[in-house]
Amino acid sequence: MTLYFFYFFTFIVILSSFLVIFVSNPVHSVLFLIFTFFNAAIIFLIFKAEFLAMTLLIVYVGAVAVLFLFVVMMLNISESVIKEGFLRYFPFGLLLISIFLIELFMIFNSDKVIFPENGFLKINEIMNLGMDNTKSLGLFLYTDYFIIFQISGFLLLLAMIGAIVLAHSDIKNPKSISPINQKNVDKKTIIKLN
Amino acid sequence: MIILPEIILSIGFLLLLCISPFIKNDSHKFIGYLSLLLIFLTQFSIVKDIFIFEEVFEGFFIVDSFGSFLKLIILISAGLVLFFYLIVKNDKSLDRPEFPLVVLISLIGMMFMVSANNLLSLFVSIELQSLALYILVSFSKEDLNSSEAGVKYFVVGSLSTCIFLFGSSLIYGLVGSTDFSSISKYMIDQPDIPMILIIGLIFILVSISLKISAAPFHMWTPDVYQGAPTIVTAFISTAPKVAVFGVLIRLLVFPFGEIIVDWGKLVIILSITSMIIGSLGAIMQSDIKRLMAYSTINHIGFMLMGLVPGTEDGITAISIYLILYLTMNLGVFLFILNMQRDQINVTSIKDLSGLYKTEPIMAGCLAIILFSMAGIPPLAGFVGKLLILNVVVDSNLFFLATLAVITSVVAAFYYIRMVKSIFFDEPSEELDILTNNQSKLLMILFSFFNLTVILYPQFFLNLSASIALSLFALK
Repeated sequence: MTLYFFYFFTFIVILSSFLVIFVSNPVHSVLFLIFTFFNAAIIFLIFKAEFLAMTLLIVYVGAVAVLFLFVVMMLNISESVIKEGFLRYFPFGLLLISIFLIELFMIFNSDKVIFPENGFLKINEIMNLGMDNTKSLGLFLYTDYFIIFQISGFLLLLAMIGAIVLAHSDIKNPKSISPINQKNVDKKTIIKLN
Repeated sequence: MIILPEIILSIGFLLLLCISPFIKNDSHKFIGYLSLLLIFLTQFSIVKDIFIFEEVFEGFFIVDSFGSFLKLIILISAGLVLFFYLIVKNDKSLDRPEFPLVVLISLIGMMFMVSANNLLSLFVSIELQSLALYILVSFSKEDLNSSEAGVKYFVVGSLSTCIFLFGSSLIYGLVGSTDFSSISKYMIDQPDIPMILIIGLIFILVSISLKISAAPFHMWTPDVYQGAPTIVTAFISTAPKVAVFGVLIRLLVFPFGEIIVDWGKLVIILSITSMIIGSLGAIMQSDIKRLMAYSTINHIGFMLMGLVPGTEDGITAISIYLILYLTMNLGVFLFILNMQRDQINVTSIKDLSGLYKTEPIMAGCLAIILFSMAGIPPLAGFVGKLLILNVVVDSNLFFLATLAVITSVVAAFYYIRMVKSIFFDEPSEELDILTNNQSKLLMILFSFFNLTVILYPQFFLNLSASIALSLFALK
């Protein structure tokens, strides 16, 4: 049963990701992108990776795709501009895709790739206790990886400070005049004749 | 508490961040002096526990004398730069309380960097440090050069991050762990090291070379040094260089110490190209900041040379060279910060001409520091170069030593040309008289230090030897 669900949703993912490229309207294409993300999240859920599924929804659908949508709507690109470079870039894209495909086949067919089973990641032990993966990830992140988590927090704080420092400007001489000054304008003082 | 210094600095930073909006007048000065106090407290707590050796946080970080010593140098140089920032008249756009705060947060990143004992923690702390530096470089918003330098630095830095991550992922895929001791153990157990591991190391080495601006990964350095506000250039040419160099030493000596045959050649190539480009590139420069960028590349090449044998003596020599390099660099940048004509900062070499007539004392101090950079005996730069060359000759790398001597002769040309212009050229337009007494005093101190290091080298040798010993204790 799970297998049929998996094939069904993978089919939708592939179909909608093709549509992302081939649909002519950019807004529709972003909407199909969101649809792809949703179905990918469902595939994660089928494999009991609910944390990844929710992260995908929150981060990609909630933030990135909405940002794309804003950009697409604000730029207002005409359809002809998008279609322009298609034939020119198609061979190069095809080359990249085929290289990627060959690499994938090579990885899964070779016996040289090692997937470390009981390496450094102690998360396997926690997962084997029968907890769901969000809980075990949380347990893991706030104990063993606590210091990395803290430093990442500092990184985010710094990003915020940086954004404010670089974007905020306190203009000393604004062009607008305060209402009080406007009201107090006097005909005799405002006109200067030298 | 083993990581007390980091805790003091982090919590102090957060406190300063909270109080900074409530100070109305001259808030950058207030926050700047408090940051200096904070840095002083942190130094005190490091000195208290300098001989501790312990792994903390599940082996993510390691506290040892090598790391503590580097932290101390980083904090001292950053403290000096902050002090310059407070005493020198800066561009108006730099007078904001965020400036010392961003310096502080980059210091937190650097302190974690030099004690990182895991590729993951190393990556996060390098990011913390570099992100702060991107912000500092593009701090001066009205100045287009500063924004341009910021974008360039950011692009190169992101590239470096990608390369680092790719290298670490290769190593992780092979070893199954990012822990330094596990990597080291894997290499001891393995009869012959797989090629992938060496490729991973090469990627990490390239990424770190981008950060310390070792040629052929130096392209961004002159542009960023020239475009950034001078006080920021003074900062990025001192503290981060020490931190990244510390990371490089720790990585190469401990987890990858087994494959010294492989990385030795790479470091030799990096060192040779850096020395050649650093010495030849600077000859045609007319801007002091640009010239200092090439000078940094040259010095980095010299220091990398000491790493090639991978011995304790080499690390000792590098540590001493790092200290001496900091004093020379800070001295020159303090002078550049004070170079003004009609209240406007100038950075051309031509502006130095005839300085001797207006400012004899400052001219003398600058000349001493420049001679020291060129490696003229008996000044400090000579001591550093001598120690490194000694190590290289001891390990029978005569070709490298010869090349180093030749390139430093070439490099001496442009330092001495500056000295000639200070003493013998007729001034076209005179610079403003230096009225800043604190800067004068500091310049005299720097040049005095450069003059007298030769009298007590044993102090530095003993200090650095004990530090290098602690690094090799892991093996």
